[in-house]
Amino acid sequence: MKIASLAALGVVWDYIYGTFKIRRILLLTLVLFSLLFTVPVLPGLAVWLRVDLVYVYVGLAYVTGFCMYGAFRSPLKTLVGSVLLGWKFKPREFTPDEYSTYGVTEIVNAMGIAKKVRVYVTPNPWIGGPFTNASNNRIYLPLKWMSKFPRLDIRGVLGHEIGHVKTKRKFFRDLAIGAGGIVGLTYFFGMYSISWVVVTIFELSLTFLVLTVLSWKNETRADSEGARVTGPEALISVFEQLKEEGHRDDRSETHPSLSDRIARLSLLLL
Amino acid sequence: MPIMELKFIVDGTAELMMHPARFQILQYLREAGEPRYVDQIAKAKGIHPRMVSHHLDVLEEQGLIECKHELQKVNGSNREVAVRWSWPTDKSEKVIQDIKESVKVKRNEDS
Repeated sequence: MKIASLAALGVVWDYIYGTFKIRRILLLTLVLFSLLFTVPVLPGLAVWLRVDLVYVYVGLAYVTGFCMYGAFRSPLKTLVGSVLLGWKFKPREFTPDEYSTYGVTEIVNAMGIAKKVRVYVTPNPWIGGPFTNASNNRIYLPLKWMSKFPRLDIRGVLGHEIGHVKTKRKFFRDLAIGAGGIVGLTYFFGMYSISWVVVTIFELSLTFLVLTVLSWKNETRADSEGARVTGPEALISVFEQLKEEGHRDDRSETHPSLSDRIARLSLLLL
Repeated sequence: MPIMELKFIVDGTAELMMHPARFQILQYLREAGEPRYVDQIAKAKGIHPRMVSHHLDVLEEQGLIECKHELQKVNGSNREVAVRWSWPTDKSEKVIQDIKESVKVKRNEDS
């Protein structure tokens, strides 16, 4: 009972500590939001501000806030890089030899995935790390990672990415539940709020907060799923090397910190 | 000597040593001068035995160490257990030499 309470406290602490950055962004948003309404008034530009465009203003404030704090930088960079520069840096699919060397088919079979999973190597410098396109079950590995990490470590990384394919349904289910929760809470909050501008800020902030928590959960799930098939050693080894290279070790909006992930995976080593 | 002439820097083998644990394990095996088994390395370097095994797999795959399994009584046990002896190869010496040389070249360039 005592251990369960301590574990629950740990989860709550994790949540509060991890959302620190989000709270910072929320504060910044409020400041920027107030500036958006006050600064244009000074030179007599009040006519630009239309109350029905409040969503646009709040959105702009959020984007500015994220840019200033570097939040969502990595996934945004990957998205922009793959969409805008996809034509220039064409990824190549794994050769049959590579599929067998890295044991992709074995991992897919061991996870019980019926659909074909394709692995691509991309030379795009904007893509800093491997990622999975869950809609078409394609995994993209940066060329730099292929030369930097040994085969056994890459196999662990592939285990994690294929884990995303395996657990994508759970992630989408969580997203649906999260969206329902946000709408419900916003409605409830809206009934008692003095202004719908405040409700809008509350809704957007809650959305990003929920997205962060669900994304961490998704990453942890993929780590465990990968470790179940390839063992946790390879992923731990990759995370340790990334830490050594000075990769950011704080909790981002989409991923838990490297130290947290190493600690979790190390529990599976016994 | 220009860095481009250092074979193991160019072919990426030296990059395996970017991992601190792998570098430590290889250095330990070189300094020991005789084969060591997983438990010994794990205790000496404070690394989990399973992580040691993984790093040994990587080093062996790249030909930086050689390994051999033997049944042997260790740590005063009454029965024989399977131990994995590991020792560095000549290639590992050359890789370390290349790394040292590249550091020297880099320092000269910086100064």
